[in-house]
Amino acid sequence: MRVDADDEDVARGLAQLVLTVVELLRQLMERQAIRRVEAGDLSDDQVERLGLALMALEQRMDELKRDFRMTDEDLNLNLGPLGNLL
Amino acid sequence: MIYAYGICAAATTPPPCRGLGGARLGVLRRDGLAAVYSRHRRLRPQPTPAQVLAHERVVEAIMDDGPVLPLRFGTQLATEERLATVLDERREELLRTLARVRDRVELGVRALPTAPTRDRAAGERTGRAYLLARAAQQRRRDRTVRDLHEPLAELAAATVVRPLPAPPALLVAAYLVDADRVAAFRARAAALDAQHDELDVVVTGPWPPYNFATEDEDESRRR
Repeated sequence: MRVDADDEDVARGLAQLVLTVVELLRQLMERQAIRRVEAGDLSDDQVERLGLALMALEQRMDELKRDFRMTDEDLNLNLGPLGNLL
Repeated sequence: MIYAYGICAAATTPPPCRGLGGARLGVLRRDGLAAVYSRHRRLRPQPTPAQVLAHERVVEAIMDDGPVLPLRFGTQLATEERLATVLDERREELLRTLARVRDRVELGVRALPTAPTRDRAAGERTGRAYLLARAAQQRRRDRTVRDLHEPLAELAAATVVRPLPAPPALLVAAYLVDADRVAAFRARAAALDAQHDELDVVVTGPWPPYNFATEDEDESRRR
């Protein structure tokens, strides 16, 4: 309903939205990876590579959060009746 | 432009306080329902402490008088007619939700590890160690939900648990509790806190039922 917003608000809001969605996907991937490791259906080599990839992704995410001066609390979307996204 | 604070029963008296920017509050009544609002020529709600507190004060003042469905900070509508339409269109749902929160309050619970745990698995050197650290963290979170949330939920009419709480929190949840069970809820939370040396359990509130103002949240449980 609010249509007037200055450019800075819009840019920050967009960055927040994008980072939130990326963070959600990252967390889902991590959960899926843990499930597969615990199920024991990955080789040692696959576990190692998966872990390194996820570790690198988390580091990159931390850098992005720092660049945009956002905390974990900022990376959340209240979806109204659906509750919070993260 | 009007700014809306909360929806309540028609019998609600106008709250004895002011709204955003010191605006006078109005009550729009509509067949068993009412909404508390203020009228503004120009208003740009920003989540500053002063504005958020003004919103919260109005919602709490409504709650002093009866059940309230708090609206999210920043809720604006074009006209009173528009607000009346919302009340008309969602009448049944709003009445049911108001009945659900009547004589109940929201309590917030956060559980944090007492000792600073290494929540960032990022310091690990191998991919395997990273994943194992993450898995351990997830198990700790699941255990916290089982040990704390379940006994607390027994005292609540409905609950909302945040699925992925921001670290280091292990549990972030909201509970809709009968006003006369708040003391029992706090006592149980304190007992759980004492039982679990590894956790700090913090109860906040009572709050207006922000997390229970809409019907049928997926995660909420009714008893």
